Formats: sequence, structure tokens, C-alpha cells
Amino acid sequence: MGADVPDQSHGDIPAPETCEKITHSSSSGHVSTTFFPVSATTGPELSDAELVLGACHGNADAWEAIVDRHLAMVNRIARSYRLPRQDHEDAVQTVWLRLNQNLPRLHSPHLLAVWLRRATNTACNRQRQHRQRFLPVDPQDLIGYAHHQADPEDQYLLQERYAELHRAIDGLTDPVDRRVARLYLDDSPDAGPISHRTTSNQRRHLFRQLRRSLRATGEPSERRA
Amino acid sequence: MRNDPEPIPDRAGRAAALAAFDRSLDGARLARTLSDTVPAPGRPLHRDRGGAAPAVLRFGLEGVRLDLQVHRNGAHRSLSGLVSGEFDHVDVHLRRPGHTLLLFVGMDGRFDAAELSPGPLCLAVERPGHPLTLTDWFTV
Repeated sequence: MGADVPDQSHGDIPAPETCEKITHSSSSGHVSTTFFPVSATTGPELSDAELVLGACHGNADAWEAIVDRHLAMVNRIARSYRLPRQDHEDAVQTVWLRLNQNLPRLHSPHLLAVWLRRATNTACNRQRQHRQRFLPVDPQDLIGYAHHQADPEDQYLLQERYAELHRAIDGLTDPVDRRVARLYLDDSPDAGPISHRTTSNQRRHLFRQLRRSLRATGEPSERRA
Repeated sequence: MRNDPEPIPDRAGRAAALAAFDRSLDGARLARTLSDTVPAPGRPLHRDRGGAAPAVLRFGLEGVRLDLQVHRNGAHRSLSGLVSGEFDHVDVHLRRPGHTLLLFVGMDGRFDAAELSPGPLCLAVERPGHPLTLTDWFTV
């Protein structure tokens, strides 16, 4: 979000080139300077910089003109992210809220379209990234984490799985397979990486044998059931 | 000769965009967004009861830090935060499009807001002797 927001929000708006500087002097000696927008184009349409200046001075029509000029672009960029409707609407609304908040701080009001493009991409990216935190996860993946181990039921199931695996290893007929299996399961701190302890062929052979052994140990209980 | 139909103007979200116009807080300062992260989905230790990882945001406001966590509770969101730094008294306002809510900040700087509907929000931090400070708008 904000960390990636276009970095144009520091400092006040400089007087744009399209503004005419008028200095007033009062009888008390007080001097004030006002910037009045002057159309940069020959046509009646005001430039982005002029509209930003007008909006900064509280002109709601200028803001409306900004919205009408750039709304389609913002929507088009947001749609390209294929977000769900609610997320899409939130992202677009955030863009306009940020623009309103940063309006008096825009360094280059004439580059408003660029600012909006980047702000829309930032908002949509954040929205997409934050959706990922709601992705469902296989509960099996949660086994082994500390807070799950504290649960007695999880601990019991974990021990069951551990015992069943070791029963299957003990059931392997080839002593080489049993040795490879124990090397593979070695989780002591000084154990080297798995690729150093076992070869891929050994692991492939081991898994095949273990599957057979687990099937064999599971069959009597299935029959009992 | 082919007559192309007039392109229909894209006006989706126009009302919300127009409603965003508000010049009442132009004198406020903007807080720096120091971080805005979501713990990876594969790290369940960071998940809440609903199985979702909270969004973690941090803002810096001239000697004061604002830490936020956004949780999902069904269709609603909840926000828990901590203001830390040098201050005697601090007020935190939660701004949503169209309305503002004053949050209760405890002696230890903790505050929270529950039952929030999804959408953009912004926090305004007010300290005596300091200008009003606004965070960036973010969605919950």
C-alpha cells in the first residue's frame, strides 16, 4: 500500500507553469500572492494541473472534471486485475480517497494521469496480495507447528503416525532399506542434508517399499474393521 | 458505411469517487507508511482463529509509531492497534468514507475496533501541541 504509493506527496504544489502569478499590495504594506489558473490549451478544456489547482481551492466542479476525465482509465486498470467485485470497488475507491488526500501535495499535477495509473496499480496489487491471506490451507499442513502440538488430540495423532511409520520401517525385509529409512528420517541437528545421506534412487526404492509395508500393516486392521 | 454505436462512458464508481472530495483536512500531516505486510499463507503460526493471516501495518508519525493488525471475522473485519512513543494524551479517529469514529485508546496505547465492514479506512491521530496526522488510506 502506502509504501509503494507514488512518491509525489511531499511538499506543497509548486506554482504550475500554467498559472499566472498575481501579487497584491494592501495599504498596510501586506503583500499577498495568488495563483490564478490560465488555460494552457487554446480550447475550453482545462489541463489536469489547472483542475488540480481548482480542486485544491475547494472547487467541486474541478474535482468532478478530474473524476470524469480519469475514471475510465482507473476502472480499466483495476479490471485488468480481475479482482472480485467488492475488492475491485474497494481498490478504486481507495485510489480516489488517496488522490483527495494527496491533492495539495502533488509535485507534478500535470502528471496526474501517471500518478493515478501508479496509485491504481498499487491499490489493486495490495488488494490481490491481501486476498491470499484468506486462501484455504490443507489442515494436514498445520501438523507439526508448535501451537498444534500443544493440542493433546494432535499430539496423539502425530505419535500414531510416527509409530505406524516406524512399524512399517521395522517391517522392511532388506536391512539396507531399514538403514536408508533411518538415515532419511534422521532429524538430529548435526545430520547433513538429505541429498548427502541418501541418493535419489535409494529414496525412490525406499518409498516404494514403505508403501508396500504400510499397506501390509494396514490390511489386518482393515479386515478387523 | 458502418455506423459504430456511441461508446458508453464508464461511470462505475463515479459516485464514490465524487464523494471522496473533502478539503477539510488539507492542513493535516501525512504519516509515513513504514510497512504493510501480510504474513505468508504457509506460516500458520501467524494465522488467527479463522485461519487467515492478519495484515500488519506500521506508520511513523514524528516520534510516534502506530502498529496495526487487521483481522477477518467472517464478513467483518477487526482492527487492533498500538500507539507508542512520547505523548501524554492521544486521540485516534477511524475515518471511513462518509463517517468518522473516535476510538478509545488505553493507557498503554492500545486500541481496537470491531465489526468493521470491508472497505477503505484511514486513521487520524491527534496529540495536543501537534498538528493532526493522517495515515494513508488502506482497505480492510
